[in-house]
Amino acid sequence: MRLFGGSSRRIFALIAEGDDRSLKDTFLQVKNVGKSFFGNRVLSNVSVELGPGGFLALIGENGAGKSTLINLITGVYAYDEGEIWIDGKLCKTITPAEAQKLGIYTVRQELSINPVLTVSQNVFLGHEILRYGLVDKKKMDQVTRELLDQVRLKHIDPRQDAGTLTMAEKQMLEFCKAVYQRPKLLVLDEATSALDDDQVRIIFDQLRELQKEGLMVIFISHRLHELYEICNIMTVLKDGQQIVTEPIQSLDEDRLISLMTGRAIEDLFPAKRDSRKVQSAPEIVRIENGSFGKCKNIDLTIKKGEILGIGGLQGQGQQTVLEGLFGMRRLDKGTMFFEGEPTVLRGPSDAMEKGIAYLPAERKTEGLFVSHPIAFNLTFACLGSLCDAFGTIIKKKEKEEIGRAFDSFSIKASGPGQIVSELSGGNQQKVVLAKWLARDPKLLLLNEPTRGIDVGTKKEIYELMASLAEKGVSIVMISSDTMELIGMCDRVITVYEHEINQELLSDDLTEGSLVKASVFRRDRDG
Amino acid sequence: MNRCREWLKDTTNLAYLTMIIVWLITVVTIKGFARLGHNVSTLQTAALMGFAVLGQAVVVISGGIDMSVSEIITLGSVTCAACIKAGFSAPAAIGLTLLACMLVGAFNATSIVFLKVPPIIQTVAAGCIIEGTLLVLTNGTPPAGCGPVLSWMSKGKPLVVTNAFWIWMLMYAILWWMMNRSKFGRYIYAIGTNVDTAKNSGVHVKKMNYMIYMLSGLCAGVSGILMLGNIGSTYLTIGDPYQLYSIASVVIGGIAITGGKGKFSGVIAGTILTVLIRDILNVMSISEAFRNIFQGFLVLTLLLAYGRERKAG
Amino acid sequence: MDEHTRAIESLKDRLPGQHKKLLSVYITFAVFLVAELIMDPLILKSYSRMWPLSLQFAPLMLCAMSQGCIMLVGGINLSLGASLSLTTTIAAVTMFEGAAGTAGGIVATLASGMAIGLVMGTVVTFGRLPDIIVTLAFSYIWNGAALLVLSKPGGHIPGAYSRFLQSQGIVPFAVIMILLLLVFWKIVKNTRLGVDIYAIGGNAKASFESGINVQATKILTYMISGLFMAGAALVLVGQTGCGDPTIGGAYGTRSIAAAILGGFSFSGGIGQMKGAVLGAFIYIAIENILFFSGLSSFYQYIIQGAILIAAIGLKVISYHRGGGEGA
Repeated sequence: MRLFGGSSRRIFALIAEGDDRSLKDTFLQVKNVGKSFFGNRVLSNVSVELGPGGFLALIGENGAGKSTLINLITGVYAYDEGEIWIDGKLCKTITPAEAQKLGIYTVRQELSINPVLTVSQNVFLGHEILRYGLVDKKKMDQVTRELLDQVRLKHIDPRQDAGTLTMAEKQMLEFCKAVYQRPKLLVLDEATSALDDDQVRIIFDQLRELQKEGLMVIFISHRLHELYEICNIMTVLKDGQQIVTEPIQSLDEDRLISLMTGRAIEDLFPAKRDSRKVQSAPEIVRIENGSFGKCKNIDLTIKKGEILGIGGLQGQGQQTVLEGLFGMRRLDKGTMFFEGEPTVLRGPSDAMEKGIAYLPAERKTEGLFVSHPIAFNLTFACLGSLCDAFGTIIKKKEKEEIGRAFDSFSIKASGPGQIVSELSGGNQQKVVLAKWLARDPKLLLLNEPTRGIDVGTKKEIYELMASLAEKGVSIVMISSDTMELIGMCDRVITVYEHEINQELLSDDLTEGSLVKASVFRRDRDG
Repeated sequence: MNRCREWLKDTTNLAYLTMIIVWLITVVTIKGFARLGHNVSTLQTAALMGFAVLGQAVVVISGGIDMSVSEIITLGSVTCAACIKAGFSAPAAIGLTLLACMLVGAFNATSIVFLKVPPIIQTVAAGCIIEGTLLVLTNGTPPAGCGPVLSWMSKGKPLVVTNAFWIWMLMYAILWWMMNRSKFGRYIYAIGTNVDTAKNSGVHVKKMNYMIYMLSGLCAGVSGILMLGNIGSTYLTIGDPYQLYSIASVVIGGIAITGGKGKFSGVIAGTILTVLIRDILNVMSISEAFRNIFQGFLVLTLLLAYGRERKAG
Repeated sequence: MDEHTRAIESLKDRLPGQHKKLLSVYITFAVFLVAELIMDPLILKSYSRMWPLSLQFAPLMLCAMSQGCIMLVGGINLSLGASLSLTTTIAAVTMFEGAAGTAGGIVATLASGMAIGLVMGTVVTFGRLPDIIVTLAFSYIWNGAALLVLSKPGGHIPGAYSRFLQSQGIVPFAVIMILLLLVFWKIVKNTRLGVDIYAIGGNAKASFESGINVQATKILTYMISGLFMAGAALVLVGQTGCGDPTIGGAYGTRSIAAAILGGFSFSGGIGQMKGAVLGAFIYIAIENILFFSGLSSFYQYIIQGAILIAAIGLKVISYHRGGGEGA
């Protein structure tokens, strides 16, 4: 329901029933807000209003200004222009602590769970229940028990160390922590990234329950279907501008993508190849009855020029398989053949010599030297080929290599001398890819290659993958994005409880078949 | 003006500038500091401890720290003296000594790499072990005497300044090449910045750690040998002051104590500046108590000053 | 998993959380307690043997507790030895004969211990520098300061205080002091401050985002650490009857070793004060065994280094053998 036209579109959050609410019911009112960093305008003229029960989806590519907007509302940054009203009060400068007092609570993608504290200590950190000035452990454990039961984490003991939880459990715990604060406005910034569909559903059920009591949510997620499921209005940002704010039903997915990027959804994935032709290619890797640590009974072949997806629920051992292929884990049992030869990989450098490259999931902490320039990163993996016999780096060769890589990946930066930490997520990922492709790998291992990356860069990466596969490079990709696996892979294997569960060929790949293969154990005899 | 500020933002430039200013001040204000002889002896002092600083700098850039340099210096000079007393020729004695010092480095690397002992603890522990072993073996009094060859290597002055200084420059040149021009330097900076990424990019982090700590052992060993040559005898606390001095020189030279950052070329300025400051304190005949306090404050102030720099940049 | 490890696992399951983490410390402690009793059977025969023994063990126990505090917030205090020396000299010049003079000296000593912690904590937190290098620099400052207060062992410790410390009451005073400080810690641990100390050791950034005042917590931790260290100084001056500007040298590295033996970890957030006390006991018991076997005192340095490496190394090895890979 559009109330105002023009560049600043405003909308009242309406609950499903459509009952009319007047302005005084709005909790959050963002009026023509703008923000610049060092003269660089990252957000301009954004207006949003949110009233009880309003679930706002914030959508945009990376660098579109979503996080900036959230940081302005939660008081991490001060805004330069416009006004933000919270609960009827004009908040010009506000600290994160004050925002919390006003009832705004944020759950971020980076986990804040403290591994050395117990689960209940984590829930109450900074808000402990005190009795005679001392911490009341019993009471806290009791409340935590109730919170955990609500999100069906019955197996977790409030007194156990939070460090023993899995990634997904930690993210659920973050949610419990937030819910305990009884916020009026809950900001979820990629807060479901580590969860599988079941866990997301549990959390959504809770949110809907709280919605009836008037909870408001601002939700950022790269998984669009989640936003469609839970939110009732949607704001699309692009390059710091507010493109549209509308009830979610009126925006279908195709239109949304084109609003965000100026492209249609069919364009996202390159055309598929004939899977039979791919499967008839010679194999590059074969593992027979192998085991890497916890992962047992691995029989795996990878064909030349194939894009093989590894799917499954979170943390079932997908990463272990990939690390094994890169020599980061030793094959405890069984044999690995590389191009037909029995091979033992003693470490990443062995794997690199064979022509294997690995793109880790955590690019900032595992894939990049963020405090060094782009150039340092670009040539790091191929230094050996740029050196003379003594190990001296030949400057001319290095310069050529940097120039080539920098241009062919169209990295958006002031130059190869720019520090990597100043780049956006998508451009950082390009640097990691460029670093590895400088080695001309035969087998490329990708761990969540597009996590937290904007649609534009995603598309570039997909096109790159397709063209590499066409040239005969084999690609193995772990992804928690089902659409990505279906759209890109010639074959997908699913991992379940540290074993390879099922294998699906390109023609059998649907969302349904993939979920089934991830959740149900393969019948061994059948 | 802006360019000037940019130039000064570089901690290495700042270190060289400060070195020159402090030197000029001493030359003008303190009697005798302008004499060539005095300056040669300053450079000699700098060179003697400078080797250990070179090694320490490499370790610090790789994200570690070597607290055992002081004991390795002592080990170096005592072992060398013992070898010469036992009748070995000078080259053989030097070779054996350096081998022993590199073994300590290898021991450090083994614990750090395989037992995952934090570098600071491992090197403190190694220092204790060396100290104890030397006490047990020498019973508190190390053998005296060093022979003419060592003495010449350290104190001989065929070219204006002492041989020790030229050897120091040679070693600096080699290590400068390693840190700035070779892939090993890249790897060392990489390990100091982010070990995980380095490992994932095919760097043999374990091997590199062996190289780094053995290099530090070697450098400290050279310091020890030339100190023996310089004074003609040795004692069991000869290396003690250099634990702080070596770290202070690295920090003064503008290398980040947290690793992965700072130019290797800063070590020369850092070392000479440390020696100049020590000389000034000596001249002012300050009591040991105040000297300790001053040195502690100096390191702290520099760390704070550079730390602020890092935040701004 | 063999029979032996299974037995330990089942024992672990039955213990409450806190003690579970200290199990290996308890076992090691038991072994060395037996060894100590074999070497010194007099302990069992004569209760009065407790007094000299408590004086032998108490300073290191308190130093290990002091070191443990810093390790909880993810640091290491390399200046502990120097600041201990400084505090003994302060005790020796502030204590006077008579009850009031002695009490005044004790208060002054404890206060200066906390002041030392306050200064270092402030520099570490507001300078945003690694603890290791800051405390290393401070070790020179405290050493110099100790020499300024007393250039050689001296000062005056009231005889009554020394006699009181060594007097044969029902329980040795040093033991009471450790128990008092343990109770103090137990209370701290059950306040918000205690939770915050462990929290910032585990993850400082996330703790900050949870609204914890990381800087204040860290500084307070340094002050508590200074308090424990001053406790050690008070025991030491009672024992030696004077302040000594070099006495602390022996406690720097040993306190780190004792804390590690007691279950503290460098990564922060892990460890308990009773573990530090047991760790110090184990450490001195090892030294006693060496002394008992008649080795030259020079060996103590070698042992110091070896224990440091072994205590950490064994943890890593047992972690890997226990299938810690997946964790």
